[in-house]
Amino acid sequence: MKSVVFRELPVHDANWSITTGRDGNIYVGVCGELTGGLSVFIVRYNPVNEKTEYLLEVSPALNEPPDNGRAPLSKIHYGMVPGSDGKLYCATHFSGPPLGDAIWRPWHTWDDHEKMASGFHIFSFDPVTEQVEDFGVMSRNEGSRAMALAEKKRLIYGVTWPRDHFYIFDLKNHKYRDLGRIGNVNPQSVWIDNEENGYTVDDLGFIVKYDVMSDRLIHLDVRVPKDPMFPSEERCVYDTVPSPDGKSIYGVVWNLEWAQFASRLFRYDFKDNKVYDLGPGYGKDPCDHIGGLIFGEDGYLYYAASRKDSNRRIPYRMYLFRMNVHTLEKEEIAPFDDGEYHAEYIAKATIDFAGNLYFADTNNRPTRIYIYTPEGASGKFIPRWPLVRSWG
Amino acid sequence: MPIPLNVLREKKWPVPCHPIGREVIGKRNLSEFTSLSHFTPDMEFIARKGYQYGHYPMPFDYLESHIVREGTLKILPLPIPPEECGITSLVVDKTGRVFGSTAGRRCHLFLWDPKEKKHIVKIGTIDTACTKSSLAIVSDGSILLGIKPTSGESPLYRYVPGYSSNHLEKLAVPVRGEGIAVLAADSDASCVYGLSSITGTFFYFDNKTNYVKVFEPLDEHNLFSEVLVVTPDGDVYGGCRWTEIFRYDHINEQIQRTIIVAPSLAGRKMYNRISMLIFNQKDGYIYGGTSSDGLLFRFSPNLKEVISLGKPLAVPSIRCCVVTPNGDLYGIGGKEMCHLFRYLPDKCDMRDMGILSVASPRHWDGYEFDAAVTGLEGEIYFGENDRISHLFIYYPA
Repeated sequence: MKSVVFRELPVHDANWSITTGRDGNIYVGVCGELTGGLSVFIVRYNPVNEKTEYLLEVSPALNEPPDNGRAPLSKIHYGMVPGSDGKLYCATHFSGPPLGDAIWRPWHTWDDHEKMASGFHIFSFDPVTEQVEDFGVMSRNEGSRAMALAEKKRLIYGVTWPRDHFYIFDLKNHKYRDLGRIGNVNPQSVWIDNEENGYTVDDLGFIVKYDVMSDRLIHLDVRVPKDPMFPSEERCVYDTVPSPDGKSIYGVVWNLEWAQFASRLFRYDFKDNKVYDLGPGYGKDPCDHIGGLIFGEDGYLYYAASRKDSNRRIPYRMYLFRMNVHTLEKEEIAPFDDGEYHAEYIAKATIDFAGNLYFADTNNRPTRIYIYTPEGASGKFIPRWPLVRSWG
Repeated sequence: MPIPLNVLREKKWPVPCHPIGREVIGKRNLSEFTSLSHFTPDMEFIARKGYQYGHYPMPFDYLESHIVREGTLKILPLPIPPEECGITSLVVDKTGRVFGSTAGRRCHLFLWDPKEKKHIVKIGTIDTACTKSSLAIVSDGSILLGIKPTSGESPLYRYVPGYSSNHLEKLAVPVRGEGIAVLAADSDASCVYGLSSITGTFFYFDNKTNYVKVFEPLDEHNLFSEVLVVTPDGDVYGGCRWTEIFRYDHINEQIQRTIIVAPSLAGRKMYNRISMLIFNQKDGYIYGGTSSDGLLFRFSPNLKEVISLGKPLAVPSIRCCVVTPNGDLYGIGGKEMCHLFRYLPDKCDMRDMGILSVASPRHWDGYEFDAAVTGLEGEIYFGENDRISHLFIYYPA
């Protein structure tokens, strides 16, 4: 499989955010969470001329030097979303340690004015004019794990870390609202429907909906599935992607980094308010990870699933699968192996105008994105919008 | 224009701590434990040749060092929807049953019976949005409940266990136009004392006669602390302006403003209120905490002196506290990220014990608390006050 390696950032270690801009270029948030004092970078890959450009070092652009001794703005997690105006709307995140420290966690430095995180920023970045509009710090000490853009309503929905609060940011009036705690462990995906209601999942697997008409958070009586072998009732969501007809989302359950037999594919239908269990993504190992959900132009749902390899730091090797969403038949396509490294952990995915699929690799140095061209891809860079989901 | 490549190539990057990804050619478990977690301090990664790493020592237990690791903790979910389940008051009756009240879109009264150990039962609802609710228990076991509504006035309510069939009886509105900020009672008496929610007007309610006596506001500028404590001699103590302590002489039915002031950090008296008061049967002191500074203090009603014990936590705000049968204090302080602290008066030992965190029946970290009470077996109940809340039960080591 082909890859694009971000060698000019030799110490950064994870591409948590990836999306396609209005211009058809691939944008990646190259994060540094395992080495102290690193800022996230926004990197652009042009699939037409295959050029990589390092556009923005985020932390100094938001007036927070990454080497100031505090937890730096080291990540844009699942919080980079393209707007129809050509801008990228981003929410920063934390977990990278301050310069000189081995590790950092927000619980340990909540009231430590020297080490604490300032709080996540929401900002927009225009890749053409290179203008950054910083909307400010939203929630003191917290990062934003996942985020969605309700573009017609000019709202951003997201969840904070570590306290797992659902928030709304009004882009028109520049107002931030904290709607309160929804669970204990962050969901890794916030999505929207056609009416721009916001959705996510709590850590008991129940879907939580922000109803924009009533302005209320509602805990629906609908739950993402779990593997029958999974003893606990705890589960959450890792990745979601809109169905081609926009009437539902396809998603994958998250193993919360500790839960075995957790990963499971599902479809949630907005109108019926029902969850359909689509079975395990791969299902042979207890510690499956599934990520990188993306629909190809051929109508297949592509995703990355793990196989166990205990000799690695993250005990996985990732493989590309695809599922026929009508028959639910799943087949393995290829390993995420570019000849230099077989990926340990794929986060999320995106697509370009020609139907090539891009998968964001994490937990490796230097970081990279893997590129796969499905057989049914058009191969023609024909601009069209919207192309990708409006969430991270 | 994109960042020039030579700028990135000439940048002095920080040195990584340990190998990851393709830098790892193997690993050694330093313990029997294996984990899915990305970070395993008991694992040593064997690096490929040619890579350099910095040495950044860290405590081996860093990842769990922020949570309470002494004693046993469990949580009980409340059968109350989000946004109306924040617990703001807890009381224990003579049989050990725990009653709690919530605040939010509505106020609920609930019961947990530790002998039956089934689940929490909701026993009454007040269909009024409120920011706080307060409970007191009197000699015949009746529960008195008051709420601080978001607008308008609110009466006192009474629940009589065993007789009312989940009925909350509406009583008088102690102070017209206001709700109730706090209630306190001597559980061997029939009187409940309270403060109104806006003007801080002191009142008492006699549960035998349903008589309400209303006194004057504690302060002409309506500055008061929403706390009261009843001492064994029947007197009542609370806070009036900022951190001044007042005494209610129950025999003469008089409010006496004292010149005793709870401590504040220098220059900060104006920003503080007394946020917690509790009587310690063992040493006869009233212990208290302050809001903005989070100081713990001890007040002697006999000697009329206050001793500042210091700050148990790095955070502001002492939220709630209990005294155990052996006279030790366990309390909670902080905002948005509460910590449990312990003070042992015999040893003058004060420590931050960490965040209350459980892994069963679900993983849950408690970040906001506003109520605490000790059970008959020495167990401590903490009432979580968050959008989704639980009753925490802590058994000290």
